[in-house]
Amino acid sequence: MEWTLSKPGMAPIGQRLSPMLVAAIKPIEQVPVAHMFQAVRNCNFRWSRQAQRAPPRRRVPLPVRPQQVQEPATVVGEVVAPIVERKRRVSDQRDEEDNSMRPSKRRHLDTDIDTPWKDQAWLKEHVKDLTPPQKKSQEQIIKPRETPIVRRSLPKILAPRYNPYMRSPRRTPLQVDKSIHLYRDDPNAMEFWWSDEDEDEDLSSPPKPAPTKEQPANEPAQKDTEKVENAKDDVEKKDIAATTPSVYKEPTPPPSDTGSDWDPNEVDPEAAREYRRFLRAMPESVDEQGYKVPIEGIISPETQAWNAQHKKELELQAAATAQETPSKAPPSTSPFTPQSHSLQPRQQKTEAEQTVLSPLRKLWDGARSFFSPRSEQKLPLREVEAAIEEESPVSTPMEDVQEEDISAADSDPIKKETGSPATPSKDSETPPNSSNPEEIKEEEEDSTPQTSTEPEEEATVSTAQKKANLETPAKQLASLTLHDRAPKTPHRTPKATIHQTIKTDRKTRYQKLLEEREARRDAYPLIPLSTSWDARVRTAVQNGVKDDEGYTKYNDTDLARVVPQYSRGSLVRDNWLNDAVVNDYISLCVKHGNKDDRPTQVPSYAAFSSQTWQKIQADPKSVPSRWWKRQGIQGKRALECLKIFMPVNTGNHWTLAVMTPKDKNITIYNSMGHHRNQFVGERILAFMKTELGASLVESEWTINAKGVSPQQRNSDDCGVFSITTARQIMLGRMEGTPYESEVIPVQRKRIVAELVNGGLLSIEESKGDAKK
Amino acid sequence: MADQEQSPNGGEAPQATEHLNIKVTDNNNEVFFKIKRSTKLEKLMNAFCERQGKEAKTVRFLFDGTRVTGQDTPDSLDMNDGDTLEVHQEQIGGSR
Repeated sequence: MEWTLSKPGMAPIGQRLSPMLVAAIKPIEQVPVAHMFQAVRNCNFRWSRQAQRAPPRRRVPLPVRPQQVQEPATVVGEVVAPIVERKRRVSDQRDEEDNSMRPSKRRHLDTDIDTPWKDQAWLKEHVKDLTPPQKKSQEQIIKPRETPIVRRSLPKILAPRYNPYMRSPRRTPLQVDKSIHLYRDDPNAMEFWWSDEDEDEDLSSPPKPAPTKEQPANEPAQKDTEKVENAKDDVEKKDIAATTPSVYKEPTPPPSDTGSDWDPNEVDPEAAREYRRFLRAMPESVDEQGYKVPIEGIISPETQAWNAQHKKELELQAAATAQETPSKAPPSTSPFTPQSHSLQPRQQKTEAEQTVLSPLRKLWDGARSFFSPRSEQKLPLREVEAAIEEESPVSTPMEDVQEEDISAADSDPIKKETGSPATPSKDSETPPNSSNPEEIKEEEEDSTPQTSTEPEEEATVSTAQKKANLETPAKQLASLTLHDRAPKTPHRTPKATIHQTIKTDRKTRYQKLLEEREARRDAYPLIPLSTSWDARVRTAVQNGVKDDEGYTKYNDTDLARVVPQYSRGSLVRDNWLNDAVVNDYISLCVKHGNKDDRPTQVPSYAAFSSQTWQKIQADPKSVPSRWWKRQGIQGKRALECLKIFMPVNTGNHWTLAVMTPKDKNITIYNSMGHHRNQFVGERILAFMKTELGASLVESEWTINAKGVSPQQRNSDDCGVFSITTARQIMLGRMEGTPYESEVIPVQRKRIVAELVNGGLLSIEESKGDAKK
Repeated sequence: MADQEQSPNGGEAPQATEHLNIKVTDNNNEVFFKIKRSTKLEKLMNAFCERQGKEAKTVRFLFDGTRVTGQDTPDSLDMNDGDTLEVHQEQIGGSR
């Protein structure tokens, strides 16, 4: 360090010398001891200048981030770059949010990475690829696969987990409701769907369609497929009537009792079981054609296989029915065979035939669809009945129709058996109430992802039209299938509706109160008193006021403070108001405001005496709850009060505190600045808190320390201002300028007059004669 | 007035329910009075002022925060045995 030993009047001795050297060289008598100690204390004992200087710290360049500098300048930087980047990538991903909030984190990262790169051996060990990473080309970026993820297996049921903390294992097994429709629309119910608890079915294997019965076992499969193709071509090209597929054998053996009428109560148990199994095994919803509709767009391979096979089946059936037509087949092969009528080609029919055949067609269709497992209509009976009801007045009764039908079946089997009931007639004409063409479209779109063959579309259109044709809601309800969602009903039915409006002039009590107060607002202005009132004020000031029983109400000293010019000369001329006048006048105003209250009601206005503030000032909790109870506003009742007044005497100054529980507000009205107002407000809030407890949340309350009050121009009138403010607030006249400062001399006389009167003086009263 | 004070006549058995013990206190002193329910409190107030040497005009007696006038009685104020009257000095204010 650099220092000089110098003394006033003495030349500096050693410059840039170590103090010990100086001490050695310097004769002792020339260097004062104090100086020596001072020098020793000041220096920090470095023997040489060289040693004093700290070695320059090598500023090691921190690894620069590769994105900031394209070409790393040093080898170190070059090597380090990949490491840094890797670390950053990981850490940035992890701590991205944290870094934004905590800048210290960033530094921590820097220090974290500055050790390893010093060690080249470590580098060679750990860093395989020393070349800086290069950006991936666009092709290398993996794009999200477009093909949907194929779900291999449907979820199995989750066994009820054994909870070791349960006292006893679950006694009852997991309840699986096997009524299908409950779970039909619930995706969460899928796991129950594949419950292993099903009694006899092996559902672990993907569901396979039940083998169709009409497909004879003796026929080879190849022939079937050929047949299908040929039949399909034929169906497409020609009219069915024209085709004579005599080559093909009749595929379906006719049932034994075909001649008898179809008995609706007769249910083939085997078919029903098959149907149940089918439904249980099929979590997917089913098309009109019987195709499985993928759930959430995910087509499982099982479903695809199933659909393919089903398509084959349908085609087979189409071929079969096409082949059936020339030969006089009995009307029903078996009522449970999933025949798709919609695959039939269009046929031209006369109107008469339609009218005759349509009810029967519907009946037959309904019956067939009721038992056919893969058709959509599950409640056809009602529909059939509805259709019969609909058409019975027009056409012949049902038995006749059936007889006719039998005869017609003999005569014209084509139309009876194969002709689809809906398509030939309804395709030509527009549906009567096709109010929802979008639904049809949707259904068509739904069917398209499977296989969009022509007959399918026809089928969908026809069924949709069928649905649209159902006019009444009952029929629509009847047409609902098991897989349809429940019709949306309004969540709550309105219990009552407004059907009548009576205009009344009735007002609530509060409205009345407000109106009366509004009317009363201007009835008590601060106008000068009449001469008789003036004389009465003078006597009151001079003699004091006594009540009827002779007890002193106000001393002459009290009132002489209000109107000092009327007092006798012997009394002290003091125009500062005392607490007797202030409290009494405010309670007078409160009494005036509570005139219209019911006796059981919480008083609209309340006032604490000025002594309350004295106690609050010392301790807000020192005021017992009885003080509130005396006002009738104990506890939560205080919150129903409109205004609560409290005159506040801070030393020798009167201010007014007004609590407004409705607005959760405490306002301090001070006629002379706003000194200490905030303190007053806080103390009063604490005072209220002790009474109200939890029902007063202090954060919700506001303290307005600057209540708008006219300002006094002397040092005497603050009491008058305070109580006048209270009066005007009670009268609801605090908007704008509640009163002028000039009115104070008048108000002083009025105070005495109103105290003597025992109530506020209205215009008439103050202008009129004073009583007595 | 003075005979209503605590000291002289303590126990008149039949009248026990009729009498109240009332504590009158300013912050420094506590004086107990035993008065009848129907006695006007003016007596008590005057007694207290005499005893404490205060002028009655400059003293306010408060019961539950409200000023007690001379014609009030314990009955009219719903006073109970052991209740307290607070004595406050006159407050005057005109400016700061």
